Amino acid sequence: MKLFWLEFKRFTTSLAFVLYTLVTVGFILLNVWPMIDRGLATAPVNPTARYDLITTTDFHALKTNALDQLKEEHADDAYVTYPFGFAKNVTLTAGAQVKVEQALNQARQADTRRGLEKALGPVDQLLGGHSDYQAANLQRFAVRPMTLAEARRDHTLIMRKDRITGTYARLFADIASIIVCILPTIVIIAYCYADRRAQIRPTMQAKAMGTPKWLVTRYAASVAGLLIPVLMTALLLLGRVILLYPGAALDYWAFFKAAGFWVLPTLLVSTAVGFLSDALFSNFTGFALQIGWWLITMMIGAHQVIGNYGWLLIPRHNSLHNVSFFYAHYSELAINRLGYTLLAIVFLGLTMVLMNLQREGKYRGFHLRPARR
Amino acid sequence: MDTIQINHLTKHYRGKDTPALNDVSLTISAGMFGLLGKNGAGKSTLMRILTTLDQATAGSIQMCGIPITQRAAIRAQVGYLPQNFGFYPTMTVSDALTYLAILAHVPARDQQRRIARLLAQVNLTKQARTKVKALSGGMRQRLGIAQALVNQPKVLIVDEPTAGLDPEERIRFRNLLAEFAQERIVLLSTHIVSDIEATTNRIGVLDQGHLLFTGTTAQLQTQAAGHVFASSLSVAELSAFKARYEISEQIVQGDTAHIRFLATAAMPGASTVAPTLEEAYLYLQSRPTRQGVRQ
Repeated sequence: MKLFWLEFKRFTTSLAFVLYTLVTVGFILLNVWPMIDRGLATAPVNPTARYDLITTTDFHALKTNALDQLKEEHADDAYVTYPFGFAKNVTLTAGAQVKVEQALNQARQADTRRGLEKALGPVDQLLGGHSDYQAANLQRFAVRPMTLAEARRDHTLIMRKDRITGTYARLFADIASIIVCILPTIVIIAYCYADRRAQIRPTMQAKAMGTPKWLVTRYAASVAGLLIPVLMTALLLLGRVILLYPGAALDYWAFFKAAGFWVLPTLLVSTAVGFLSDALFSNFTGFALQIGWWLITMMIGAHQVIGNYGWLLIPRHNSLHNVSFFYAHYSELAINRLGYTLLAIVFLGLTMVLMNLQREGKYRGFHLRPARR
Repeated sequence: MDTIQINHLTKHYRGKDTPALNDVSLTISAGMFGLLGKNGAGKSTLMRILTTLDQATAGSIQMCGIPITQRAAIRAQVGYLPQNFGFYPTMTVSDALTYLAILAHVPARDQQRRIARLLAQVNLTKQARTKVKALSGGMRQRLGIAQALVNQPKVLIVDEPTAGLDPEERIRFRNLLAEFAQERIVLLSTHIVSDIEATTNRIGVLDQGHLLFTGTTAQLQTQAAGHVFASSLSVAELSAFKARYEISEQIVQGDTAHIRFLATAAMPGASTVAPTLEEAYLYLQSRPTRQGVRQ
């Protein structure tokens, strides 16, 4: 336990940790704080109002959304694609515009998802790929506004099952996962690099303590430290909800449950990647790999941000609604989170093996070198 | 049985033509033992193998009766001060020692008492709350020796511990080592002959992975007896002389240089003198190649 506290103290007083805390708290608050208002307590009554979007399995809604967007983009000759997750504006030649129009007409005839994919595939090719019209990305059009009845059911779930805080906690978990998927890796690599900079490794490696105990203590201390800004923001957001909803039956633990159940597994993985990367490369190479993983996850997640769990390292639920989707897919999310927790343990096991090999002089780090000419 | 027995130890690094250690056999018993050699002689490789941080390509080692392959048991009884010892700069001396005491499996109930005693022994009690980055080079090395002793090891291995220290700190550090050698094996690796001269008379000399000599300093000096001479010559002759002989000392006074040098046979005009340890070491190292000792 004493070693844990010494590691914790060293970790939480490092410059990398201070910067991580500032960025994490800032990122979460900037994205979640403005979304917290008194609106959730108001029951929907207006049958003509446009309510928030929900995920739908209705093909016609998907098709209508896709074709409406394509029609608009075609009319303006202003398309957007998302190579590596970054938005890119695309304009087409007159000839290509004609082909898009033909594809649009063909897509109008499509009466199955497969038919629609086939019709819109050429549009994606004309745009250079990574567009919303790519078969794998069409799912993002599978949304529609709630009806009044659905909005009422959604409201009931928010008030009775989420108890308001649970709704905000989902948004908080969605945003917090984005940042803890990437930053802990670099913080951990910097933390481990301090060993090399201080030339302390041979001294520590020659001591009697077994690698598993040492690594697990270090890992636990790091994870505890990395959770601090997450829990701090959870506390701040909870305070804001309490102030905005006086007298409401709130779930006071909702933010902390979201932090533990939803955010923590992502953080466990990105932290383990940091340790594994240090053991594997002995430099900052692993951070580049984690950026790649993060970008891919973000791109896949962006197909449907208001409720998208599957096997995403960052499960998405960037909405204060679509509550029934969350409860209907809760077990999917739980399996996802359990899976990533296990993956973090596997990464930690690999790190142990590599550290043991290093301790015995059998492995000195895998270094990427530019190819010789 | 407090000895280190090294039998036919060889270490090849991948991609290197010559071995870092070549069939080294050596027995080290309790007390201080000096391992002398130039940079790159293979001393640090041997230290790393003895501390289980590297593995031999061939050969075996028994440390106090335990084979080196039993790493956990070896680590429990070895204290190691590596070359370029460092620690987290923002940690206090006390925390640093506590940290390493935990890694060395010192029981929690003994830690504070043992650390206080070690700090007193290495004269760092006043610096207990000082951050490591605020320590001088000498203080840092003393912290290094304290951490190496924290598990009360039977074997203390110190690699080039006095490099970079000022003369006062060097003497203080050597005295500490001598003190600690009274109750354990201390293996001191260095390229500084005066460190050996001041601390022990039992040495081994490594050169390019070969163990050139093992025995007492007196035996080494005896080997060089009759091969060290003193003479005086004009400063103008000095360059030509240097090309032929290994000069171990030169004092220039006006146009005259008073020199001590190594040669294989007596020379006219030069008087035979008793070799110092440094000269005996030079003689041993230069014996196969230098013209001065081939004559």
